[in-house]
Amino acid sequence: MWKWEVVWQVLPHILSGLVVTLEAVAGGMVLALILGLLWAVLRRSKQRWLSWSTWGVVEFIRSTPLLVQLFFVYFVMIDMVGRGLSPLMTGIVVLGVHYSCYTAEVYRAGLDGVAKGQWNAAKALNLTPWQTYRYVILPQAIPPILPNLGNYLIAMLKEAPLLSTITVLEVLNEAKIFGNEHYRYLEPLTIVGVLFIFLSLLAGLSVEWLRKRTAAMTS
Amino acid sequence: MATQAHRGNDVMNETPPQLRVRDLQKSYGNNAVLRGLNVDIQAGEKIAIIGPSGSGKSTLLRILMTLEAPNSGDIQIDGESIWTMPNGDGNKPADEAHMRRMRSRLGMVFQHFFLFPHLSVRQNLTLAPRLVNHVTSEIADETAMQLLEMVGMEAKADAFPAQLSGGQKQRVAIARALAMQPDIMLFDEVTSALDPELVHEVLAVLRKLASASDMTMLLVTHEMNFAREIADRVLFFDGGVILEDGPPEEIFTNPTHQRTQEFLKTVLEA
Repeated sequence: MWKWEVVWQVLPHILSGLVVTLEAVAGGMVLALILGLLWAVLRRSKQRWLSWSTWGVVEFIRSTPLLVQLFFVYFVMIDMVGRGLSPLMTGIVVLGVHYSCYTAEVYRAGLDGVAKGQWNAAKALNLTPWQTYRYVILPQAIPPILPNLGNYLIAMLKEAPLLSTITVLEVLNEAKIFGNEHYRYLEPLTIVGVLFIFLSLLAGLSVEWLRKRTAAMTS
Repeated sequence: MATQAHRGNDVMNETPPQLRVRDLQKSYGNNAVLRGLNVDIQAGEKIAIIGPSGSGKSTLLRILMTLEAPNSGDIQIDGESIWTMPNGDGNKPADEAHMRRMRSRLGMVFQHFFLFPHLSVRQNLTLAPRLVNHVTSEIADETAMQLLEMVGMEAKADAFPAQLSGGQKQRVAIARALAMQPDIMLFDEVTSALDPELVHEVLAVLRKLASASDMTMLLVTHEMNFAREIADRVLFFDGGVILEDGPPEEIFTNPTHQRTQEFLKTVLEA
């Protein structure tokens, strides 16, 4: 049955795994936020080939499972391009690129929500396209979508244990290794579950707080 | 053909117009909005553009501001085409640098203001001068305050657009366009979206501008008395061409075309 001494024994391993998980999610989210915006902007390009190929890539990545992408990049592409990337870095890149295809949709909704006249006004004042995005469009497009972007942060957090399949020593992997070595899975896996509930609740509350704040700001 | 040639010769002997529009065509699908429009405008002229809705008035302004591309035709500012640039013996479509240089000659005020809602009134005025003309913040602020004073909005410099009435927004929008120091200002039905009691404050600003500045002004308007009062010249648009072109007295009291008479009758009675 439940043994507290096992808890104290496994906790340091799990906490070091937690740090790795948080690193992976933070890195992946930064990437997803930047790339997603890039896809959303490219999809609006007047160059047909650019907007269409962006759409194609985004749809392709969205329609294949994250686990397949992880395996493909880790076992196939790494061999092709040489073993330059650590498992963690590989995980961050795949998580980031995968989720960027979802955040792109969120950004798109945000950009669509900005009144058409804002583009006209910016052009009449002779702003460059880059200045128009940076100083006129994005400051209006992003605040309303922050809660939705936050929801993808939560989703990514819950999918981060998939990185254990490419040998990243994140929280689930640490628990599993401990279990394999000590033939005890109850405490390690329970702790992992509790940690995720805790983190998800925390992130959920932050998103809710963000939603209230941006609602107050944009109304 | 003969009239075109004649017009061409005529113009060559005079000072070239600041703005020249030749055979401008624009259609949306099967709907032709501009059907070969021609006009010459001299620097400093105050021009009222009137006519029924759908006659192409706003479309002309939007094409002048490069917000939309014409299907064919030529627009020149001081002899230089907006939409094309020289390429050897011929012309090629204008590149972005050329378009931006041409655009810097023009300013536009819109029916629905289009102020930047996330910026204060002052920031609305200083954004483009700082980013585009590389004016220092101090000078941009100073100019902004002068312009806000001119339109009677200096007390609201730190307010946000959402806190302003329609008339106040439009006065800020006028100041914002002026901050870029254009040579030609385009006003696209700037009082049409306002509550009736707010129209006069915007007209007062335009009146002041028309009498005090040597900018060229093109005003698309439904305010006939105002057009008559401040314009040097009135263009009556109908069906995508200029049907009548002359001093306000002539157009309003003695229009040549039946269409003009009918239009004026309808709007003046309303």
